[in-house]
Amino acid sequence: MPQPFAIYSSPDITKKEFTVDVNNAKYHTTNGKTTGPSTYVLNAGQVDIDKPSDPKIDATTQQPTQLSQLRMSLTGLQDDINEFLTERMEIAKNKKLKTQDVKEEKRLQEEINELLDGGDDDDEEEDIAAAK
Amino acid sequence: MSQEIIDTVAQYLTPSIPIKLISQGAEAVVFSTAVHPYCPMRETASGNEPTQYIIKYRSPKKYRHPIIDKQLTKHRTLSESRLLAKLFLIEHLNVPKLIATDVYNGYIWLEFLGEDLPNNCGYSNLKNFLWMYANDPYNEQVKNTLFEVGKQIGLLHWNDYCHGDLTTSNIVLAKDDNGIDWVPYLIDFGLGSQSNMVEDKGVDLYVLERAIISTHSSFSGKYNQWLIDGFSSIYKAQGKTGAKKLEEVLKRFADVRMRGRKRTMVG
Amino acid sequence: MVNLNTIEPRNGRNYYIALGLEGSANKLGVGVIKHTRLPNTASGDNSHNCQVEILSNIRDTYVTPPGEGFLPRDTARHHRNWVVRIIKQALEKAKINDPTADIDVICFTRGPGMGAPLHSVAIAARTCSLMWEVPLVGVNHCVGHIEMGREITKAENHVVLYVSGGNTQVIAYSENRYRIFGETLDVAIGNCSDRFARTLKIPNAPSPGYNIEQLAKNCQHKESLIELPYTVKGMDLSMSGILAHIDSLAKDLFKGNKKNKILFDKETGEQKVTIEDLCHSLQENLFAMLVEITERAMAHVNASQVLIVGGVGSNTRLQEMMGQMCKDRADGRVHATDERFCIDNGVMIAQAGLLQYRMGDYVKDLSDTVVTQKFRTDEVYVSWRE
Repeated sequence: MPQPFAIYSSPDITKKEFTVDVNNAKYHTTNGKTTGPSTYVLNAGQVDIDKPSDPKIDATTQQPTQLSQLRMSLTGLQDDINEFLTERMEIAKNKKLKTQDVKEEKRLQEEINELLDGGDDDDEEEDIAAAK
Repeated sequence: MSQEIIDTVAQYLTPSIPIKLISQGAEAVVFSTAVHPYCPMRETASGNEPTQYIIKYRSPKKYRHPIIDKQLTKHRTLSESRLLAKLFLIEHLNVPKLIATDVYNGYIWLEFLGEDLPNNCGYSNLKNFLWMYANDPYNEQVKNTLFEVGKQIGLLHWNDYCHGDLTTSNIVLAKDDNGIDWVPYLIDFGLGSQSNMVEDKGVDLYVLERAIISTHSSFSGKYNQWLIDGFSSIYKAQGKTGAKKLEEVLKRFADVRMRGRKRTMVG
Repeated sequence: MVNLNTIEPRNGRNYYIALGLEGSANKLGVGVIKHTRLPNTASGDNSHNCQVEILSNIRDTYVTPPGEGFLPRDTARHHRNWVVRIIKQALEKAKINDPTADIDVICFTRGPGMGAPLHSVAIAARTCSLMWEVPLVGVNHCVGHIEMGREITKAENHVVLYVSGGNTQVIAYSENRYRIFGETLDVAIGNCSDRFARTLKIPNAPSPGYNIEQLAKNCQHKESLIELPYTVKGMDLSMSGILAHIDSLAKDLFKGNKKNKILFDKETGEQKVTIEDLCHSLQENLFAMLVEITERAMAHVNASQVLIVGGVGSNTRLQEMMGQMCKDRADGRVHATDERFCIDNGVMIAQAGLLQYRMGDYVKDLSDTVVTQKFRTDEVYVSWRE
């Protein structure tokens, strides 16, 4: 049976391909690592009654049915993709924070410079208006 | 319309004050009478019909808790009476003349305004007036009237008052002395307030815009533009400060509109 | 001219079958409905009179522990993990054996709602559509509520009050759109009671609003009332201030803050107010505001009836108050549906979607099935009404 795969492409990186490794146990379960309930609700006392169903076992072959096989492979692939995307989000977040810091610093410096130059234009205008 | 309410009012007013039911709004029941509470009955210039007055009655609402009901009735009757008295003093602003009020029982006695539109088009509020012109929506008279309505709202806002429930039913048209042009009056100030906040003004304009869109959808674009033209003319006549304040109000109006459209709505 | 028979039923049948999938919030609903192709739907304004038959209506709710709301991620997971099982159940109950031959259209909620849950159900809808070669229709959730209410109650000349966890709107139909007359300026009514239920730490099953309603019913001092802000703003209302107010009262009550004179007697320090009293006052206050803005809209469009839809619409106190208002006003009537239809379900999505499909309007390109969190009721062109 052909295995499912996924390709991620984005202008800033070379193509990333996700494939199924049949020897890895994570492609043989319907319970993914990243697709469980969030820790937050578990800590709040949630009992998980929304688990995905177990793979269906074919009565004659005693093996998971084709659709269940596919479901398990996809669970593993989804974990890989989720981990990859989370990592990318973290990178993007850090980058943004950094640029924000730089911007903030630049703004502050500009303000200081302005103050050092003495008075800003708005005030002057108001003074003239008041004098009239 | 429940007979019970009519009976209550008739009993309160005693048989010496005959009343005629005019309309049942959402908040109040409106009657007309020829009796003035403290002036003798007057004949109109043309002859037979005596001058009419309005009695507006905020009936108890059985659906809501009696405590809430009492508070609302008193609060709104009082605040409407106070506002009418103050607004009447503003030059060029048209509101009905306040004659008497009983805030605990929810009665307000007012000057009678408006008339019945021809061809069974109903009472002459802005909503019915616009419906009357549904076949000739961009008539010059419609344009002029909406411009005048805009001016009234402009005057109200310029003087730092807000209506709070500005719909096309709450704008009444009365014939000018020449008997041709329509003069708009703002009525129903139960939710009104004194306010210099641009937010309140923006919301007023937004509420009116939406009322026009919902009942006169096909022509609402032009209608709302004419209203705003009239509104702006009042501010623009006030020089630089006026122009600046106008810009603030219109900007907030646009913000309020965007806020409405962009509100997240979760199933 | 409205012709609801524009498209022939598939396979030479004389009836249409629609599958509806709903998952915009914490309820996953799947429903199957049938419309017989009637001569009277070929012309005239009969979209509320399709003689709908409900073949199945299955719902599963994602429930969180007391004091917790539902997070998008976990709600989406619930929908993902149950959607196949629920669809199978719904088809079985409706006796649909061969979806390709037996279903005319698959309808799913395109919005508004929470992104992740909407998305997971949309994926299920697309998959079924491709697998069975059945066309798709994306439905506005609010319009779904309205169409279901109209079909069940046959209400005419009415204003719609739509009250649910995420929405509070007063709507009236005019010129092919459901136009919004008034709405909340901040939080929705259902959200308000959900959040108060979290403060009270009362169970979220069957629903927080239902549990507040029961507490309010058990209030022993119905003649008195705790004063809360009353915030009707013209046609609109605001509820965040009321929520903040009652929330702080409840917190003081739990803490036993004797300084609070509303809750405790200033002489003896004895507790004067119970949780039940708070729930009662909250309901009385919020519902009075809802009925008031509904009455305003009725006066504006000369309607005599009210149709209440959405989850909060099953509250009997709200129905009672609305009924009283309608009766005092032109001997009108209030129309409401029971929890099978007013709480989010798949059938309502099928109903609105099938009407749209029968007008010949369905998805031609899968890129048109992208869900949207923000989808105003008045954005939908209602082609199936005059």
